[in-house]
Amino acid sequence: MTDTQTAAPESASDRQLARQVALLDRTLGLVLATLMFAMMSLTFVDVVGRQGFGSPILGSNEITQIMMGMVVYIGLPLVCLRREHITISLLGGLIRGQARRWQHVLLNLLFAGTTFIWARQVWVQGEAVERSNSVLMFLQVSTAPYIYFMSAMTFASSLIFLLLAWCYLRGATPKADVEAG
Amino acid sequence: MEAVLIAFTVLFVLLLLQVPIAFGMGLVGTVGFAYFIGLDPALKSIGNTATDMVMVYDFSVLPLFILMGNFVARSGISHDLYEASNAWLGHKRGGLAMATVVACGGFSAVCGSSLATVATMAKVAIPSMRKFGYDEGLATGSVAAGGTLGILIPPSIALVFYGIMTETDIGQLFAAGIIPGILGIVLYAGAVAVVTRINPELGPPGEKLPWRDRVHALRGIWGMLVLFVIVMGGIYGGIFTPTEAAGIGAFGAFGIALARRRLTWKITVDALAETGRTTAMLLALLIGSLLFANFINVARVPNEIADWFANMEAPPLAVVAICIAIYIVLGCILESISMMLLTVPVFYPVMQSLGIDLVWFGIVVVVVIEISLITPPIGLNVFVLNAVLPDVPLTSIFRGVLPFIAADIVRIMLIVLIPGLSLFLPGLME
Repeated sequence: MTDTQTAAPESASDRQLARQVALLDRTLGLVLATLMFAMMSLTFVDVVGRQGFGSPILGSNEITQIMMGMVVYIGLPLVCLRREHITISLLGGLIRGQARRWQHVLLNLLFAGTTFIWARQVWVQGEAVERSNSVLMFLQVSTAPYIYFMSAMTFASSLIFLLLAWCYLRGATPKADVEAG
Repeated sequence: MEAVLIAFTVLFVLLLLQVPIAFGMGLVGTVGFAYFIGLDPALKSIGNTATDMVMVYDFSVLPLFILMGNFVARSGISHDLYEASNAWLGHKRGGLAMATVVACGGFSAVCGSSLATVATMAKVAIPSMRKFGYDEGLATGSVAAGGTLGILIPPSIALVFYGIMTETDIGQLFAAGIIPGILGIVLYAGAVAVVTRINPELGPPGEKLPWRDRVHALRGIWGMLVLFVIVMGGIYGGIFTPTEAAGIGAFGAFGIALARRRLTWKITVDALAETGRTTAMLLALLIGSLLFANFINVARVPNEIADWFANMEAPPLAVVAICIAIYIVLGCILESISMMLLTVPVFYPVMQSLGIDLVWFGIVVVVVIEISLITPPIGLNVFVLNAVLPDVPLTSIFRGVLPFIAADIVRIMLIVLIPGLSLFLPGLME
């Protein structure tokens, strides 16, 4: 359904970029898959332990809570890279040729700006959490480092949008648009 | 109110320009919030919402149910489900289309996604219906419509979102979705019966199987039935929370797919990574919609709408009817979950102020959204089906779904007029 490579890379640097993008996609996908498997197993073992043996995994809720945040923010750059965000394609067919190319360039720049502000505000939130010295009740750890990580991944998404804008500007059309709705 | 109208206009222009719905709602929501309250609090609310919303234990119900659906979709169980329904119904006039609807309903019971149901069942049901000379419209219409059952029959991702946004008990919402879901299957099968009675050539009967073979056909689906009973029974009986049930369901579906030897390393990683990406996409949508909801609330939109209805002295049922009409219009341009996230923050405080049961309203909303999945011009299920079966023209599929839309209109009327259909089972839980 999706493809993160650009069509017909012309130069060696284009091919190298396409390879690096594919590698990023695979690596993040594998990390995401591992996290999902861990979340599923943790919940299962916790429930079986609680219901069957009266001994749930201590702190499992808080671990899941952190994992949930990691899944969302590791998934975010992947969704941006694969353009899997839900859009409406009602007028999609009406804008063609150069107008469509510039539409993509401008929209991706807008998304890059939006995600940059998002990343910045998440970082500010991380600083606020760090300053407050608040920790998770059971694990006794601060969530600030995880929030900084979320900010970094959002910033990575911003860079991905810049990369997409650059690709469109050079006339390279990514193979498949993911448009639903 | 002018600011709100401008905001909605800007939002729709952005969405039409193909700005992702999550970003559109987030951007307009933040700018609108800044207009009323100030830039600093608006920026701060981005940081708060984008971190607090993703680190909530209860929200892990979402990826875990999506994962359950992804493993089920890859377990090959759709073939067995279809064979089982076919063994029992295939010999009737229009029987294969009825079997498709029942199999879609069964698949929905372990998969919360409408699109996954359509994409999976199309590959299984359409070749069989083609073999028996079924009309293309009826064949594709039954899959597209049957797929809509996926967002109502629990576990339902739409109901999870509704529960999160309105702080309504997800277990109760799931219980409330069961009878309207079964009603949907019955009415869809009824629509097939009516259509093939008027024109028997549309769905000729298949071969009749002996009883032994019919019982034998059920053997392939017992694992899925057990999983459904454990997951829903666990929630319903108060043994598990929905999140715990989702964990059990995901692990059980993983076990079933493993036992059926359908999981390679690549398929497993794909299912897990796809779940993660879907979760990220949905949570981005949720963050955007919450930023938008912040703006809607500071602009006092729900209050103004409630006051407006109060001044009109409109009976609650009329208000619900107006909401349904708005959903049907919006459904022509918006995707299902986005439509829910955009509208529920506006409507649910209004319903609450009118004393309307939010569990019941949730079911009404999801059923209306189901209809939007098959109505032109957007009808997402129809487009998914068209992508899976490129040789069938869109017009044939839209023609084929018409009888099912009629069945849906009957269903929504029944659900609105007889709240007990939705509220009977949750009532037993209390």
